[in-house]
Amino acid sequence: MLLQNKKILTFILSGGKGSRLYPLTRDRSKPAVFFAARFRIIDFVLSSCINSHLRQVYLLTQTKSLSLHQHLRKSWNFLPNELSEFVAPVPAQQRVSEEWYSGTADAIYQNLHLLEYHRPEHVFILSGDHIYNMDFNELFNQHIERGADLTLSVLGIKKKEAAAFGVLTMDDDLNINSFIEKPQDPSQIPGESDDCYINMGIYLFKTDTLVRMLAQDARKRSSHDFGKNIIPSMLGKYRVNGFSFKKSRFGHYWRDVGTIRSYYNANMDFLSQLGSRIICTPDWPILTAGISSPSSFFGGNEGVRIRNSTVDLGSHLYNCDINHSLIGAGVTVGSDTLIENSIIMTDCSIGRGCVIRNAIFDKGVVIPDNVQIGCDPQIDKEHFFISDGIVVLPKNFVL
Amino acid sequence: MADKKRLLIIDDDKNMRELLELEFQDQDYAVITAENAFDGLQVLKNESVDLVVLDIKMPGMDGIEALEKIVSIYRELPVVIHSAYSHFKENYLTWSAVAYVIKSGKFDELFETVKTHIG
Repeated sequence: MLLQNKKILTFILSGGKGSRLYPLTRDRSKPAVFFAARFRIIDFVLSSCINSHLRQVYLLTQTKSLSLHQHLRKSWNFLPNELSEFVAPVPAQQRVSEEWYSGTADAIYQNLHLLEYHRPEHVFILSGDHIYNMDFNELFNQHIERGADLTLSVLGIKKKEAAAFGVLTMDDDLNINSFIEKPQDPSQIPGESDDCYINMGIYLFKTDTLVRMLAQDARKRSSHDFGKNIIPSMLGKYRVNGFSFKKSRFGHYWRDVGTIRSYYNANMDFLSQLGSRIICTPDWPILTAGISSPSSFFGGNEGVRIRNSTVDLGSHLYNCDINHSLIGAGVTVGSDTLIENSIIMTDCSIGRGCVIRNAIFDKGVVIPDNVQIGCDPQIDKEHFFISDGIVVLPKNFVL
Repeated sequence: MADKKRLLIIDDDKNMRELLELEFQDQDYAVITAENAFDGLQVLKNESVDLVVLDIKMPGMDGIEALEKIVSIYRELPVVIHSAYSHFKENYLTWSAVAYVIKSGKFDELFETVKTHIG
C-alpha cells in the first residue's frame, strides 16, 4: 500500500527555538539552521515527505520564522497546486485565541480548521528538528495493518542518553504500555542490557482519535504536549503502537541535533561514508535551494589541498589547506590558510594566513588575514562565543 | 442553601431563549441569556458561569467560532452545543464541546446533559 492517493495530511512542527543551538538560532528557528553546509535542517524531513508521497504538508512555525519562510519560498514551492499538493507554512496567527502555540498539541489544536477543511483519514505529525531519512510508507502500512489509533516511531538508544527524550516500553505485539517524558530512570528494553526505546517525534494518528484527544486536552490545564499529555493519556484506552525505526529502510541514521556538540558531530558524520550514504541515495534525494553559482574555483600556484572535506558551489579557494571540514557555497579562503575540523557556511570570507580549527562559522562571517581561531582556548574565550568546546561565530560576524 | 448553578444560554432565537430560560429556572438554575455570540462572550468576561448552552447557526459569529474562543479562554468551562442541525456534529471544530444536543420539542436530553456536567 502506498501513501500516494491516500487521504493524509501532514503537519511538521517547525517552531523549535533551538535555544541550545545559540548563536546559530540567534536569527532563525532551529529547522532553518544550515546543515552539512548546504542544507537546512528542515530539508531532511521535508525530503522524506516528498519522497514518500506525503504531499499535503503544513509547517507550523512560530518564533524567528522569517528565515524558514524565505527558505520554503525559494526551495519548496515546486509542488503543483493544481493537484492539491503543497508545502505551506502556517505561522502562529492567534486565530483561535490571543495565545501563541503553548505546546506541540496546542499547535495542532489551533489549526483544527485545517483538519476540518481537508478531512483526512490519517494525520502525520512530524518534527522539523531532526536529521534522518524515512520512508513513511513503511510506518503507514503497519499503522493500517494493525488498525492503530496512533503509531509512533521508536528508536533504541543507550540508557544514559535516553533521559533527554520520551521513553517508552513496548510489548512483543508492538503495543506501547508505558510512556514517560524525560524520566530520571528510563525503563529498559526487556532482554537488552542497556538500551531504551525513545520517542522520535514521528506520529501517525487516525484523525478522529487525534481530534478527540486534542479536544479533551484543550479543556485541561496541561502543557498541551504530545509527549507529556496526549500519548500517556491514550495508553490503555486506544491502540497505540510503536514502529521500530531501526528495522526500517533508513533505520541506520537519526540524529537529534539539539546542542552545538551534537550538531557539530552530526555535520561531521557527513564527512564519512555513512554521511554520504544519507545524502547520495539516488532514489531518495535531499532537496534544497538550487544555487545558481558556477563550480567552485581552486587557484594559486601552490594549489589547494583538500582532505576528507566537501566544498559547495561558487567558492574560491587559493593556496590553502582544507582538512576534515565542510565548506558552504560562495566561500572565499585566502592563501596559506588552514581550515581543520570546521564548518564554514555560505558566503563566509576568510583571509590569508589564518588557522581555523574546531569552529563553526555561520553564514556571512568575515575574518581578516592572520587570525587564529580554535588554537588557544584562552584567546578564543576572550574574543568569541564558545559552546561545548567549539568556537561558534554568528551570522554576519565581522572580525 | 448552596448557590444556584449558573447557565449562559446563547441563542439568536428569542422564543428558544425565553423558553429555555423558563425551563431551566424551573429546574433551579440561574440563567443568563445572550442573543448572539458577541454578547455571550461579553457576559463571560463579566459574570461567573458554570456552563454554556450554545446555538450554532447565528448571524455574525456562529457557535463554532464562539466555541473555539470560549475553550481557548475558559478551558474548563463546559459548553453544550444545542443546534437544530445534526450535521455539525461531524465538524471537528465542534468536538471541544462536552456534548452536542439536537434541538427538539422536548428538553429532556438537554436537561440530562446539563445535569451530568454541573449537577
